[in-house]
Amino acid sequence: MRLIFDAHLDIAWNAMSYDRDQLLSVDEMRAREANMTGPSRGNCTVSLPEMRRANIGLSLVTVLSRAMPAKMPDAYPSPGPGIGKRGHSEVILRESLDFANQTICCANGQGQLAYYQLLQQQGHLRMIRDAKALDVMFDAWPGSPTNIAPIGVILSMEGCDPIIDPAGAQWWWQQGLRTACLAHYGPSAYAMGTGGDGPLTASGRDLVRQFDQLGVILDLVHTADTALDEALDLYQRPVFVSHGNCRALVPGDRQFSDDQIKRIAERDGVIGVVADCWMLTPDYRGDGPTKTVHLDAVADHIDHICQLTSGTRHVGIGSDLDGGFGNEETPAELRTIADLQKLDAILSSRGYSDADIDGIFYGNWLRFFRQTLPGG
Amino acid sequence: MRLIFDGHLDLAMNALGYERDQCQPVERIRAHEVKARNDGRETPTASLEAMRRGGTAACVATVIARTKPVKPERGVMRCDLDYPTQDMAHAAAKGQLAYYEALERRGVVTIIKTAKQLTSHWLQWEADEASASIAVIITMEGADPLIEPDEVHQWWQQGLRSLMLAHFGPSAYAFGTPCNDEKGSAQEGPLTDKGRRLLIELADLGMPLDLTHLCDTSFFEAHDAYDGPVCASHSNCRARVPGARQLSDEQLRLIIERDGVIGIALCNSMLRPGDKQTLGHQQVGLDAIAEHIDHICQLAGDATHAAIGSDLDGGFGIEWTPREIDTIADLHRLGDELTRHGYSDGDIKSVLHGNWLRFYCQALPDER
Repeated sequence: MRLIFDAHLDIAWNAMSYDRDQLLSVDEMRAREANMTGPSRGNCTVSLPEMRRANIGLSLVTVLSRAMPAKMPDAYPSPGPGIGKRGHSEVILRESLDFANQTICCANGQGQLAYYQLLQQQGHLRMIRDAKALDVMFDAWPGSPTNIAPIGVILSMEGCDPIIDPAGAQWWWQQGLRTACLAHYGPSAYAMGTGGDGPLTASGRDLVRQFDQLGVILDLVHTADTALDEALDLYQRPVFVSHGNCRALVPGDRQFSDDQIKRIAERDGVIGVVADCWMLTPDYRGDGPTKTVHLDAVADHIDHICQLTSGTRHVGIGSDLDGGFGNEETPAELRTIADLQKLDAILSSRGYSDADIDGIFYGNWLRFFRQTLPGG
Repeated sequence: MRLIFDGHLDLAMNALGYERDQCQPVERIRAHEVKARNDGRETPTASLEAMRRGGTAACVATVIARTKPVKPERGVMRCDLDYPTQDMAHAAAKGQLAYYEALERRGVVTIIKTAKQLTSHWLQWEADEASASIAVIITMEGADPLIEPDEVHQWWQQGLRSLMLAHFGPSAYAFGTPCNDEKGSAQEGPLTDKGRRLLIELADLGMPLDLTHLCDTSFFEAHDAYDGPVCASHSNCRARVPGARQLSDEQLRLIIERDGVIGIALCNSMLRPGDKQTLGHQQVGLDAIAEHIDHICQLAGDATHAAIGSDLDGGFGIEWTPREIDTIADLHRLGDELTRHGYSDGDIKSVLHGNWLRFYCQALPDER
């Protein structure tokens, strides 16, 4: 079984906001939610044991927390079922991402950080802070589903609201933060995110410069088109997209245009494809019991990126499988994250070589982060 | 205006669990949350802004997260305190600690770790209120966030300076205030083995042990086993309000004998016997607080052991506070009430701040 490097999982958010003990098996986690209602309850697909079954030895894991802007857009477009709806419902659930201000959002983000630190202390994962540690973790990964070796994780931030001001980036860097995207859905303190268009804010420009100086690797996911253009100009280092698909196949600003993909590839970046149905197929409105979206669709997006960039070195996996959805929104063949391995046969049947598939599964991310992490 | 030292507030819980920006005036927090009232929350009464306005120069502020089985029949609300594992309770409490640290970086509060810091901070408040930040002593309400007893040393390094073993119901360390909402569940219990080991670690550090929220069996066991400083941050008198949440005269005397301090909570259900119908905001007055203070002073023979542990916004709001308390800025009114009860100015100052100040100046380490 090939190693998988998954460039996007929200492990701590699932633990701290959905009460999902990441040390349980997926089946046990589902059983505990059997009587719960609410999007994705009882349908989760990710846990640390399941990542081991998937042979995911390396992953980007997020701090994910937002500050509610003072004024919310009146009718915020929802980019997909159950996703991206902002604003308070009458009852504020623990899984809501929005906090009253950046100070509180930062504290919540630090709670997620504390969860990773605890998992590290317990030996379940290890935070990768530099290129050397990445190689050590890669070499040490036993590659057997029953292994109990720590999973190597790179600490990421999805939306930078937990960084209270640009100077605060230094503190997060010291905690191990190595990649970040500026916004999530809607506006953040630093940029317009998915669901609207707009530029970087003044402090957003400062933050990008801070990232450049520190070496925080800029993830362009969830960044509005105008802000993305600006960030690409301002930021000098290589860039990537942790979890985004192709706009040419699925219209909408959550996906990346051909032009954007080419520019990211020119900077030797990598784009991680997402296994969430609404980003895989146009006009997805949710499946009934008969699943209409298949893993093939993931391969379609991989293929599109490969065709555009004339090669297989700019695409990877950023599954996002615990990103606020569950099995109800995954392709038919994907019951848990372990089923990502099925992509192997699909790519192979489409004529991808062994080396190509290795690159897509882990090699491209490995190359990218070897170059961009400190000491690389 | 007399300065106040409040022995118990859940500032971080309100910020992280209830979206209440503690730097805002209470009125603004109230306006902000009109739209979010369906989770049982009541009208808030506390914020750092109101504390500053009312001369609350210092407080003991909590990190609070519990380990309890999730109740799957409903979604988990953000203001819920319960997490299914100690790992999560640990991380949630670390998030709350981070809130106090962020406020400290903004200059709004100072996290007090030593007696020297507390003294100099207090002198600054007496000299120039406007330039002083609010002194915060960090406590943990229920020890579930400690996965193992020896972890408390790490928390001590980060500023923890007081601790309660349990909250409501059983914790990993002791049995807390009996809860009546679960039929057939045990109402009492001793310390757990981990609880006994934790007391040894606490003694190592000289950490003040806060006996509030322990059921009687755990209270007496902890009291007997622990040699360090003891207090009850927010507990009222069982002689006035029957119920396990309050302390009996025997328990109060034990704390007094060890030169501990008892903070009176400003929750109407702990001030007067009765129920929601008879204990509304307009139905209880400051005299009820004075009566609990007086009860402790009579037991002690002086006014050096009774204090305030208001617990305002500790899961209740204005609906459960005495009518003279609209916000925490009104705490100073208790001084006038005590004057009416014949207390001298010196005694009133002891109750409003002097007793906690003495307790923590003795209990905290001199230097870091």
